[in-house]
This record gives sequence, structure tokens and C-alpha cells, in this order.
Amino acid sequence: MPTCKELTDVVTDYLEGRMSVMRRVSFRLHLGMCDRCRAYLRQMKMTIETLGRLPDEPVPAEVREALLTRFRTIRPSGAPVTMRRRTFVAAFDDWLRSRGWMVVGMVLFGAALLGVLLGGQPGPLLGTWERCLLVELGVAALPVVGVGVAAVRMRERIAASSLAAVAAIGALVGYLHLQLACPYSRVTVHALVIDVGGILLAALLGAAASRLPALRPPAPSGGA
Amino acid sequence: MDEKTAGPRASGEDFALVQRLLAGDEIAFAGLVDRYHNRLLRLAMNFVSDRSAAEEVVQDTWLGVMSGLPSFEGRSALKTWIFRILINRAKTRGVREARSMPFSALENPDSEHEPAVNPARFQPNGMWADPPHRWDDETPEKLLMRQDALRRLKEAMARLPPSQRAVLTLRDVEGLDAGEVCNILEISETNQRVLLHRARSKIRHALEEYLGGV
Repeated sequence: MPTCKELTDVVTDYLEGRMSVMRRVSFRLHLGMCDRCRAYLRQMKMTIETLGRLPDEPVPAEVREALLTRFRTIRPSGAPVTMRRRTFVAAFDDWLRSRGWMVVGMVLFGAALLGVLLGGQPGPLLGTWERCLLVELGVAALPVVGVGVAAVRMRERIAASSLAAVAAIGALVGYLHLQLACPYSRVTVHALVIDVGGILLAALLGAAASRLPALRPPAPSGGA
Repeated sequence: MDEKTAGPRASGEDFALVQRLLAGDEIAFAGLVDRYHNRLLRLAMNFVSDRSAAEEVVQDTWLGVMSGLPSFEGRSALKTWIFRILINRAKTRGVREARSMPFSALENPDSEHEPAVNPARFQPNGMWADPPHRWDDETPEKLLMRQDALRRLKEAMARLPPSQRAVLTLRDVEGLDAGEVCNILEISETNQRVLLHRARSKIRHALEEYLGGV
């Protein structure tokens, strides 16, 4: 358990959530027993809160007026070229980020279920074989999308492990579907084309997607 | 435009505001100035040597905002975007002046250990000898109502080394998140946390001095 002195040195790690579980537990144990350190933590929190509420001072009238004159003469204009598209992409991305990868997993699982239900059955539109292939390609396309999205996000919070997880889910789903739904799944050539080929295609498309200028994270550069 | 994506993206409100600005809406621009001018000034003071230099940087920043608006893509919140322009301008100027805040101080906070609390306030076994003076009945609202408290707080901030003040301002005063601050200041997550910790510890101490009379 940390001493009081040690606790004051790591209080920011604690507030920032940058502590291992063990350190966190012992930190809290100390807090539970030490009302002085509880007071210290409370004061730290209040300090932060106070800083966040520092009042804004009014802008001097002449500065404000001069800036408005500049604004009138410069008149920033022109259509915000990519705003609509960006808004949509950003909104989708935020949604994905907030719901996490669980959603991706659930979608893949749902698609697999659908594939299992539909894939093996002969239907009115297509014969068994074509239907099976189509559903399977559809299932294979989902990991492609997943890998593509993950590749775009690589530069940020999505670690390589997440990328691997998405690819693994996709591969598993494709494999399960192949085993359960497709009557031709035992044919080696078929498995090679669909399984191995599908995964390779997914990887290639993912890599290609990450190079699209619209999707690529911006390169770090200075200037406004 | 340099728009990295750590931290929250632009809100619908941000986009609506940008749209109004691009349509030449002066009221929207005046609102932006009212909201950010002094905050930009406060931030700029961390990077350049004196107030007139800071004012120039802020002027530059507003020009940058105006010319950059059409290419605002909303990868970060509008506020973060504006702050980033300011910091880029301040850095450019710092290089030219070569006597402003050393940005290297951001990269290498003193590796020397800086205790959060004066070691003399602890017993040899690490327990409090002189525990925190209580100010439990205070709230930020009550505190900031008092002019002398506000003054003390600002003085304590002014005494911070510029690198600590820059991180504290962005994180706690402006409410940016850790990723955004690392991005804007181009510092590592660990350095950001060290600078923040030192700054917060000093401000807490200043408030304790004021409220508890250490």
C-alpha cells in the first residue's frame, strides 16, 4: 500500500485512470483508511473543478471591432467542400467508437446466422449453389469492411490487436458458414477459393482502402 | 489543415457555426471572438515572451481561423482546431524570436523528481505530519466569487513554468482531453501527465495556502 507521501505523488495517475488494477486497489485501500488523504484527493478534485470554471474576461471593444472589420473584408467563403460527407463519416465513426467493436461482432454473428438459415436452402431465385456462393461472398465482404475500418483507425486508438480480432471474427464466421450451410463445403478447391482466397482478398482490400485519400488519416503537418 | 483525430470530433453545433461563418454571419463571428479571444490570449502568453507578442499571435490566429474555415473538416472539435492554429502560430513565432518559451521544456520535463507536496509535511515513515488544511465547505462557485481568491489563483498559475501552465490551461481550464493536448503540443502522454501533475499540485497548494493559511 502506498504511504501518504507516495499517494500525493501518484494522485494524477489515479485521476487520469493510468494505474494498473493492483495499484488502483491499493490506492483505494489507503484512501479507505486515511481521511487525510481523502481530504487531499477532494482538494485536488476541487482544484481541477475550480480551474474549469475560471470566468472569461470581456474582450476590449476596440479589439472586437477591429476583428469584425477584418472579418468583413476577408469574408471567408466558399462551400465547405467535404462537410456533408465528413459529417456523415464522422457521425458513423463516432457511433462505431461509442458502441465499440461489439457491434461489429454482432453484425457479423447476425450475418452468419442469416447465412446458415439461407445459404444451404434452394430458393426461387437461384439454385442452391449460386445462393450459397452469394451469401458466402456477402459474409466475406463484412470482414473486408471491418478490416478497412480498422486500418483507417490504426493511427489512433485501435491497436493491432483489434485489427487481428476483426479479421479473426470474419474468418471464423466465414468458416462456420462454410461448414454449416454450403453443401459443397467439403470440396477442397472450393474451400481454398472461398476461405483462403476470401481472407487474402479481405487483407488486400483493407490495405487498399487505407490508402484512399478520403479515408486516410491526415498526415501530421503544420500550418493552418 | 492539420486535423488529427484524437479526442472528440466536431459537434453538429460546431458545423452549424462554421456554416454561419462561411455565410459571412458577423454575429456568429463576434460570438466566436467573445468566447475565445481572451482564452487564446491566455494560452498564447505561455509561449511568447510578452503580452504584445501574445496579442500578435492571437491576431495571426484569427486570420488563420478565417482563412482556414473553408477547409475545416470537423475531425476535431472547433475549439481544439482553433487552439491548434494558435499553437502552430506561437511556435512559428517562437522560432523566429528564439527567446520565447523553450518548446523543448515540453519534451523534457525535468527528469528530476518534483514532489507534489513539500516533503517536510510528512513524517519519516511517509505519513502526514502536517495534513492538508481542510476547506471542505468551499465550492468552486463560492471560491471564484471572491476577487482575492481569483487573484491568488491567477498568481499561482502565473508562477508555473510555461510548459506546466500550457498543459494545465489546455487540460483543466479549457477542458481538452489528454490525447488532444498531447497532439496539439506534440508531447508524449507521460510528459503530459507529469506536467499536469506538477501544475495541479502547485495550484492545490496555493489554494490551501489561501484558504487554510499554511
